[in-house]
Amino acid sequence: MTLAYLDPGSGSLIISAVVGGAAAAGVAVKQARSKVTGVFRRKSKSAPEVETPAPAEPVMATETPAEAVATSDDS
Amino acid sequence: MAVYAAGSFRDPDSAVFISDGHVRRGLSDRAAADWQRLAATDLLGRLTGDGLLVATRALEGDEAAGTPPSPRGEPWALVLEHERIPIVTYPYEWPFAMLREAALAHLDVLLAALDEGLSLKDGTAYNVQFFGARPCFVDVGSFEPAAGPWPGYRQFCQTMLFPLLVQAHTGMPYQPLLRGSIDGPTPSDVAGMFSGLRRFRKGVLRNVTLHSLLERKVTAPSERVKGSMRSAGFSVEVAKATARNLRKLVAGLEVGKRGKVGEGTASVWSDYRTTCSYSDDDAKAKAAFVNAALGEGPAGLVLDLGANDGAYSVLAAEHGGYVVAVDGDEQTVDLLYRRLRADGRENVLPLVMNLVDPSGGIGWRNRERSPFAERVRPDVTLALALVHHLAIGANVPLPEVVDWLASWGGRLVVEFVHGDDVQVGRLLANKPPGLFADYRQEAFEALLDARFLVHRQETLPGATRTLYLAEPKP
Repeated sequence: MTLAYLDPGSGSLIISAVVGGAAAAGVAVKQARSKVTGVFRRKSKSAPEVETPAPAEPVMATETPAEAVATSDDS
Repeated sequence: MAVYAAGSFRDPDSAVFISDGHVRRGLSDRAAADWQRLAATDLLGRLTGDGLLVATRALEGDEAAGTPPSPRGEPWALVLEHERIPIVTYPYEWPFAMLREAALAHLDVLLAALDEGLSLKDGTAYNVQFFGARPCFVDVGSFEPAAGPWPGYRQFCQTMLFPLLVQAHTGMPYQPLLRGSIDGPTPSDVAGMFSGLRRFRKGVLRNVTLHSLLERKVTAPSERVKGSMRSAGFSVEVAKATARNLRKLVAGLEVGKRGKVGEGTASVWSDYRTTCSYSDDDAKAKAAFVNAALGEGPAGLVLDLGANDGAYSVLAAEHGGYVVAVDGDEQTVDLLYRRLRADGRENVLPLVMNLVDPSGGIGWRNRERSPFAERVRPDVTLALALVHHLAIGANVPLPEVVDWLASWGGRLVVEFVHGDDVQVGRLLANKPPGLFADYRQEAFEALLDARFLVHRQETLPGATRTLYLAEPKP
């Protein structure tokens, strides 16, 4: 369930910089580590945390569309 | 009366609708500002002139009257009008070289935009359509101010780069992958196909292996990652380097030895013309019949079903119309595309499709990408050396075959290959004896007469093939 709330585009942004050049690669990973806290998820054997149930509709309204926009296309 | 294109809802800032035959695009305030930025550069004229971008203009004053509100109920700030694409097609209908050309065209548009301080907000193969063999970028709503890395990279991978890598490196045609999911395979999906030494094939390690790894590890929202990359100094130059390297990679991808047309490994069909059983007399008589049939009425849109190497498609195009050449053999269509592209042809559109399993509706409510039959209303349908493959090769009942031929709606030029023809004999040899007793010329003619007015018929000199020119009964 929580997987559905992860943004698959984040890793892609970093890789796109890696594809841009080997030099950029090192910087990308370093910057991503130092600047963005909690970027790298710890591997956990236990079940992923279940998000608290939505108290009201705003959860859907704020979370889902934002992701959908960020990762979706137009054609 | 305006109708929104069912596949144009994903970008909240822009949507395409058809209004009295005109293709138009509504833009939100934000998208209208992006359009003004684009229109202020010479990009629009340059890319359109190069044939890379669909011709587009902004409507003024009363021209935009009758524009519907956006699918979300908002008024549009601006309305654009696009040149119409003759026939809309999708990447799972394109052979390898066609998808590769589409990818290169997409990257060329991106590179040109980046030079002007603009970028593209997405990177999907559905942004590209074809005028014959010429790829053309159609998502004018995709231009936005450039900042940091290219946000379309992931979509570019999933709908173009990964499918190309899969076919180039494993030999598996990618069409089922794209047809199976509208967004294409994810990095993790594809990583499974590139295990072991395969991950060291060109373009795989970074775009697939590392990509799938980071996909699982990086969990911050992409907007945050974007922001931190920008503040870390990742400028437009990074996006440029990405696009340049992708272009180099894509341009170098090839299947087997196809780069050398004519010397590649042959599929069953790719060398059909040189190995089939036609005599020269038969071929000449057939071409003359087809030519005459095409000349006898409108031939603005011709659908060549089972086009093979496209010889009759090219002949049909000589009558001035647009020809859709469909065949199920990917390699044959790929070679046809390469020839058409080399010749700069924009009036023959080659497509890969199994005619007994044509493209259906996929995506949201099965409407986002429409079925093939809904996109093509031909004036003339060519079904040459096809009926026996459907009726015997694929077990489709003969009445069904004729119904289907009638369903296209236009004039029909159809060839019936007799039961005693050597090619039919080869098909029958694959089946238990006695199954196709109804595969007879009289039976076919009775079915044809029930649905069509047959104007003309001619049996070829070899006496095992008969051609018919027919018109659907009103």
